[in-house]
Amino acid sequence: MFLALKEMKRAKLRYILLSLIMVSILFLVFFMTGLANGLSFADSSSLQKIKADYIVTNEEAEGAVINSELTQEQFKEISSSIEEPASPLSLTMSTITGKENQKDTDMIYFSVDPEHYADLPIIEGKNISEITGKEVLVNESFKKDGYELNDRLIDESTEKTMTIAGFIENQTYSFLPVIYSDIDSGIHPTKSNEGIYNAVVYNGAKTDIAGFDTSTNEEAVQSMPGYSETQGSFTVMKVFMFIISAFVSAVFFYVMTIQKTNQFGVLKAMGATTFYISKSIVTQVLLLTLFSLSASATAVVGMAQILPEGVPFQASVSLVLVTGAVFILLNLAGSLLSLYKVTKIDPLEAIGRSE
Amino acid sequence: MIMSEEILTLQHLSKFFPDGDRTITVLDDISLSMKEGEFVAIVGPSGSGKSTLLSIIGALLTPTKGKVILDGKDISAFKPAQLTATRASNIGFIFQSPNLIPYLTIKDQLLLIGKINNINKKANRNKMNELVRELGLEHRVNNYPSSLSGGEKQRVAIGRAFMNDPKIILADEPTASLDTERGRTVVEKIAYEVKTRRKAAIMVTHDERMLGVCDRVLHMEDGKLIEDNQAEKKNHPTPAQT
Repeated sequence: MFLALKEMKRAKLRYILLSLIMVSILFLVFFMTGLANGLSFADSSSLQKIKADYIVTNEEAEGAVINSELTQEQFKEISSSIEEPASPLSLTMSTITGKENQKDTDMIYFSVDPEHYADLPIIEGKNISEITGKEVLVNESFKKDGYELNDRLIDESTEKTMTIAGFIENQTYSFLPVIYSDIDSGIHPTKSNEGIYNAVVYNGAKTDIAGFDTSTNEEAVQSMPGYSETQGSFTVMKVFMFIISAFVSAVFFYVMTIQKTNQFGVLKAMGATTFYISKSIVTQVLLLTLFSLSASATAVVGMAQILPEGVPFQASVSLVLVTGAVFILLNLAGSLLSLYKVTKIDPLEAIGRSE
Repeated sequence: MIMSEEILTLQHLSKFFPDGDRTITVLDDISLSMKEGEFVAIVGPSGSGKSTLLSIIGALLTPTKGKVILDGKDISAFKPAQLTATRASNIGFIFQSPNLIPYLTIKDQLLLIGKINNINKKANRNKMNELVRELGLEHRVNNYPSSLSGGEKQRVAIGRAFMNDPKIILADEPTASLDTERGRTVVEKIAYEVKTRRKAAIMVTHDERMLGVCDRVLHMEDGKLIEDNQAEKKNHPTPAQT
């Protein structure tokens, strides 16, 4: 502690420059992670939040709900194989005609059987089990666009009218706001006569049905077209950022250690153990990492405040903590290089040499 | 006169280094004993083995043969960790150049030694103040080494060597980078501390001008140690005697 702090106090510039690099890299890591999370959320939150334990799709879709088509007969076949009550699920993109002087809103219907579908987290109004006929639950974003309870919405393609019975919490799919409707109400545009449903959802134990795929919400999200590709690219970027930052700090401390070989030799000659010297290096690594972490976390929180509404950004405490922990571990691993160097320093070098 | 205690005894000390197919004898059957308060100078041409001898006494190297008995303990067969502990508690080094830690103030240079040895904070501070006063560095305690003169730096190095209250002080050409006057002051300071604190000290030097301050002068040549009676006969008054 003693050596570490005194040195950092004396060589401020050097350590400030290194922290600046670390802060910038970490800021980027946090920001990108937040963006990746936000994108993932906007892309798939409704699928993640489907109120069911399992989603059954046809085999050709390979778990991707949007690619799956089920007929009335297939639905009956599936329902009869499952002991628990099941609800069909239909995903249909459409557009809501805007009110006067307002833009139209692209959205997606999640049409289910209200009697066999569990309640959703709502902000206002009725829940799914209470809606009747042409009543629908809409995503909270409609509220921001000026819609209120009991407002009428008109579907542009079917020209059918529906009533807002409730607002649901943060439900988006493929960056579109979600409207939950009764599948029998006929509000949503119908598909081909054959495949009228996309999937069947139910709560209960996992049942494998021949000719169909049964997957969890999470699996369904992963199977969304393009989802894992997008998230995968982000992961690659994050991993590289981590490696770069750990590398920068490892090299910095390694070079500093080489510079101080003579000094450490003298310390060893005077009876300082390798452990004592290593402790000082590790302390410096930890202090710098913790400082950079808190500075960049603060910066990211500040950034999130001033980001425009439309940017999908989601940073959570757990995200910051996990990223921070990984970062600290990587930097400590990087400092092993310097510690190895310290163990190799021979105190004998201090004798018989002049500076 | 009270018999003073023996601090260091070397018994038939030899050191060989392999050099290709041959072995080089760097130290050849050296025996020596030193009492507390004794200040010994070792002179000799370069390559005569002075530094190797100093390194072995200083617990940096172990001898090939023979014994090094420091404060009653034979350190010649010590393991590296024991050697480090011996250096920390029983040996004070003064190097050719002061080798101070650039980012520590003079005060902290001295306090660091106590910290390495886990010495009680207050005792450490008292010791530091005492040495700083004796070495005339009071006005420099909060300065960094970069603002000190060569002589001052070497005096700090002396203070540092005494901080752990060692049994023996080992000085490796401490005056090499100083002019005669400053060199003499430095050596006299070492002698003064050795006498008043009842330590033993060995100084390796090329500098014939400094020998008057020492109690005994030993010559080293080709790994052999020869006592120089001439120097003893000269009998210069040492600072302690004046």
